[in-house]
Amino acid sequence: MNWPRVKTILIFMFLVVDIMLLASIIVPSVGLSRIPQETIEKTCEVLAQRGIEIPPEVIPARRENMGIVELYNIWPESSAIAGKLLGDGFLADGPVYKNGTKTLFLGESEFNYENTSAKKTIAHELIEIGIDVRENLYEEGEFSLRTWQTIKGKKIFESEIYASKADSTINISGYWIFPDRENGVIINTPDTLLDVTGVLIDFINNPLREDKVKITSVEIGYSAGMVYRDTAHKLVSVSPTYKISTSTGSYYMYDALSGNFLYACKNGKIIY
Amino acid sequence: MKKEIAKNCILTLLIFICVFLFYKIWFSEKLWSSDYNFFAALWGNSPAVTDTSSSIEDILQPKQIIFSGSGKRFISAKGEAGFENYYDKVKSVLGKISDKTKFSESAEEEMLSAVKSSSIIVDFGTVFGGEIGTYLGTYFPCERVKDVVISLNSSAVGKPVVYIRDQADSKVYKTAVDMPLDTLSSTVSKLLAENSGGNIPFAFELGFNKSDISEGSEITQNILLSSSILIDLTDVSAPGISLTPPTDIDLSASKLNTLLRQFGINKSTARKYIETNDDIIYIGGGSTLRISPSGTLEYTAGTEGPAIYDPSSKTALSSAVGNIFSYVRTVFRCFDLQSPALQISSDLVNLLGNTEEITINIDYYLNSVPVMVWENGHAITLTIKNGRLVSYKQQVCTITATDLVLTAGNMLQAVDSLYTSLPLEENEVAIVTDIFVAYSNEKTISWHAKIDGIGELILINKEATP
Repeated sequence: MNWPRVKTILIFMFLVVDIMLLASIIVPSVGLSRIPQETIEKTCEVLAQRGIEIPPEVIPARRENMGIVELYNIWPESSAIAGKLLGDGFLADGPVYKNGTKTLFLGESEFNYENTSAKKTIAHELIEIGIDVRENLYEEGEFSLRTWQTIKGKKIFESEIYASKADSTINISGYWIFPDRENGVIINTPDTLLDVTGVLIDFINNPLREDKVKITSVEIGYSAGMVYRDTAHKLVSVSPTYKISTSTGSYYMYDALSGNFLYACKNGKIIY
Repeated sequence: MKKEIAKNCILTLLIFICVFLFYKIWFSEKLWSSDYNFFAALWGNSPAVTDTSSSIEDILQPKQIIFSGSGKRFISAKGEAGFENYYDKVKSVLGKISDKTKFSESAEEEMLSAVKSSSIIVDFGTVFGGEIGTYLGTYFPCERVKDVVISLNSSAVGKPVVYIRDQADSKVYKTAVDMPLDTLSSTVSKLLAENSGGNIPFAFELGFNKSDISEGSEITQNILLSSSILIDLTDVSAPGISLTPPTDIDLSASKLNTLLRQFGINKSTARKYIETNDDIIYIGGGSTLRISPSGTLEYTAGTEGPAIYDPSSKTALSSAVGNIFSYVRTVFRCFDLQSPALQISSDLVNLLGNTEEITINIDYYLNSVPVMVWENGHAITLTIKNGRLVSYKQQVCTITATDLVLTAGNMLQAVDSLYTSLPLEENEVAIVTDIFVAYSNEKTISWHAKIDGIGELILINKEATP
């Protein structure tokens, strides 16, 4: 038997088999990581037939892997959150806490913080109270800053802070989930999200939607579900969510793991 | 030579790559969810298996069996020593009845007369649909059944005679069972000689089931007792109890998966919240499951809860009972607790074809005394609509007896107090369908009465006597 020749044939055969196997792994994963353009276009057509205008480029084609995130929240411990934001030695008067030039009002789920002798920028003041805008999404104006809490670059839609500065007074207000300890954020095993095209098709039958409407954006982020923003919880779960915004200023939230409709905001009012 | 070595190396490398790629293709696909505990399932100790350990027949066992004869009575309650043995004797009689058995209508007086003499009374404690007979290996020719009388005094027939009252229209049906009377009679006689504590009369035997106590009497009573109620004149006592909630309500992943799956909530998409009072809440698919540190587990369905039974199926009753008990026991298993004795305390009728909302109550029992210490009394309350679960509330705890001895007086004292507590008009009549002692807290046992058209009412509270 001519062994050198047999080896050459075997090398050639294994090379072909390896290439085929590699292709069978790579090709589908490339295909699976994106929604086919044809599906997106068909979805736009179906929506258009039902009076919903949506440009194809608005639909995020990339398939994301995300999981539910559990955040241990310092909020229910009012004295702990006052200590975190104002420092030690604060005085409490009902929901109002004071420490020198700093005042904190704790509402049921939102807070208002004011420092009347702020010497630093808004961003620095936010860092001082534990909100590092560099780790979150933010929009900065000349005398204002809006920031959204993020997890791995994805917004928690309800967790939003607005800060403004006038002279030496900085005012910060909004809702923010302050983890109560180190490792207070638990990210569960990620799962592939439902295709947004399926959610958009479901949106057609949403009884809350306007008859004729244009979808201006579809965002992927996290939502705590509005019901649970009203009460302070020791542990808050935020789930991957699609936020469908329309030209009228309304938006509709859908759970991206189950496809369930969560809530809508129309004319500034939350509707379930 | 060097060329051959290089060829060998390349070939080996290609073979390894080939094996690796095959492995990657075959094992990279997730065939089960991340929370599935493969090893637990493999070794057979997975809590993910819903508890179906008890057969429907076990669950539907009667609440008590009453043996009568020679002026004596002996009551054996479910869960007590010897009950299973007595129930086997009952089954040997009822097992002779089938849907081919011919029944004839009987006068109620004849059945009551049979109760007074040598007989066995099988009391289910609550009203079931007649189809319950199928699951007990017998046949009941009626729409609703609560109790069955086996007369052993039928000298004319020479066989046991079974009387069944249809609770739907109060008609009584009877049939003679083809089996020797002597063996059963002597068994009952022996049992009564060994166990009887005296004669405990039924309400009808004392005339408490009629407005006029005796014929022609001018004295009338407006609180009547159902004829099948036993009037026990001895003071009732029971040990105090201690209720212990689960030590940890934050369940492990596999147990939580079992619990949530039972309620139709997908663990991988469920949101978890912990409230300031340490209640843990899971929300998924619009459904909510709340577990409090006190052991209260409360489920509210979203759009559509899990199916409990098929209203169009002839097996609706058995499916409902089987699934409900499976729910209860699975909850206990998830919390690593032993389930107390359970008994359905609501009537379970008309499930077939019923699409309306129905409420079912289940009580825990300790030594045959129901534990009714919670907000609405019952340990478990569930509502079902169109065969699907709408809500479910269970008090998860273990019940142990303490050294305290609690007393609650006797039944007549309870009935007396009923006169003062019921706001009845002069000619108004209240019919007590059941009267029993139950725990109303850990240190109190109280008399409870079910009153036709009014509902449940607590009558007498007696504080614990150490």
